[in-house]
Amino acid sequence: MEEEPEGAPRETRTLSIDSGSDASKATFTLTHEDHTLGNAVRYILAKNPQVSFVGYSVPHPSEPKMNVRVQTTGVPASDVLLDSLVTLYKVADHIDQTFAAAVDEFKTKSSQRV
Amino acid sequence: MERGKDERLGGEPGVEVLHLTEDRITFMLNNVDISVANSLRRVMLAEVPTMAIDLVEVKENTSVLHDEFIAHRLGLIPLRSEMAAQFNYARDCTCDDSCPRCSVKFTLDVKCEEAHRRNITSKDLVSEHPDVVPIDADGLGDDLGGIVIVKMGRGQELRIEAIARKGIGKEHAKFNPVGTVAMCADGAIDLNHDALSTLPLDKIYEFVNTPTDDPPGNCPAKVLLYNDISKAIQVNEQAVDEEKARDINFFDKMAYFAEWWNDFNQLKDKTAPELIRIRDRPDRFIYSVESTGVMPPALIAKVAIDVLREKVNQLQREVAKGVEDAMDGHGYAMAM
Ligand SMILES: [Zn+2]
Repeated sequence: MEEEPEGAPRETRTLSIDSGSDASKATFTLTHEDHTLGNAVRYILAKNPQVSFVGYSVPHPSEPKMNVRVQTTGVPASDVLLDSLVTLYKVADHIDQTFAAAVDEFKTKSSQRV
Repeated sequence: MERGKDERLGGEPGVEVLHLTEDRITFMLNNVDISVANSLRRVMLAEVPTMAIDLVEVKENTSVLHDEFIAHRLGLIPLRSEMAAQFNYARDCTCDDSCPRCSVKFTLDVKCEEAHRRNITSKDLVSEHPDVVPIDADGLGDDLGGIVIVKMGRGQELRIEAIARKGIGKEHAKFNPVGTVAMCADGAIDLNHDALSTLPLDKIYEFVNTPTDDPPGNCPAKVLLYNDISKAIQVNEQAVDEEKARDINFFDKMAYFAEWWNDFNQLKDKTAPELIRIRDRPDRFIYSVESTGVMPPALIAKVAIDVLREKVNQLQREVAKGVEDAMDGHGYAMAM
């Protein structure tokens, strides 16, 4: 069985990109996302030397909407956003792989102690 | 690049389990930024799928509580949710109304025949699914042996059909699998040995373990030792490890302790040095996750990490597609 993605149903999720004529700056508006990913994405973008400005906002708490504003030193803003998501994915994937081993390790250790 | 490495923090994210019981896990997450650590905390609270009663049909209710009151109480009963991953969300399911792939039927059919009163509890709920059942609440509270839904007098009757569905805490708090998720930065204890060596011996003993009249002046959990031979105070690292696994507020308590003693040392001379300092380790976070009983605490953390990863994965696909569409539509990438 294919795993359904968690969260809101896919058809109601939207992404809009407001970029004007210059691809090096853009505002990405994501629905059904909030501080959970917003702040983590902002942090990873802020560390990228190609990013000259990044900020995110949740304009209203009862509206399921989040904005990410990115301005780069020249490369397309969407490229660095995608890069940041790849990095965040790797972090989450690595934690996932480490976690099960850590639980097993603890169980082994505590059974030896008894 | 190493997997998941965060360049600024200079190491791979790591996990260490500090403590694990039936209803609580305490673990440390290393080499991540607070924003990523907070994402995991938020997902454990609001986005780990569980099962809960979502639809209630009241056939007969002569109890003292009205229908809505009982429906609300049924919704809040924690149901074992290890199997939640195998269910569809009702809104995504192919069925019209409900089916075994997205729903679990519950029935409650009781009439009070006892002379006085009868407690109707979660144990009176009959589930159609062997693994999606109310949590075992024996030993909780007084002599309940189940979570009380309503107390009925003689002759009163309650007949209900209910449907449990899969959901997340973001939709309704009844789907929240945790009692609490506490998260704090790991700490470190720095002793100023030069300043401490100027203290009289009785104060040194007091600093290490003698209770003072003022509670913040008492060292939490005896994590400091005085070595009579080397005449130096040491941090008992093993005690610190045990204590932070046991008590998420340990470093807060240490901070109060430090403040009290630093104030004491600076009473006469405002420029006197600090005796002890509690430092945050902003790249290491301790989580203490308490399950409501719907799944084992380690599973909550595990599912939360999976959900976080899949959220990012989904967003990545959507952004990639959104960018492609924008390029097709407006030639927006031409500016480069
Ligand atoms: Zn269905």
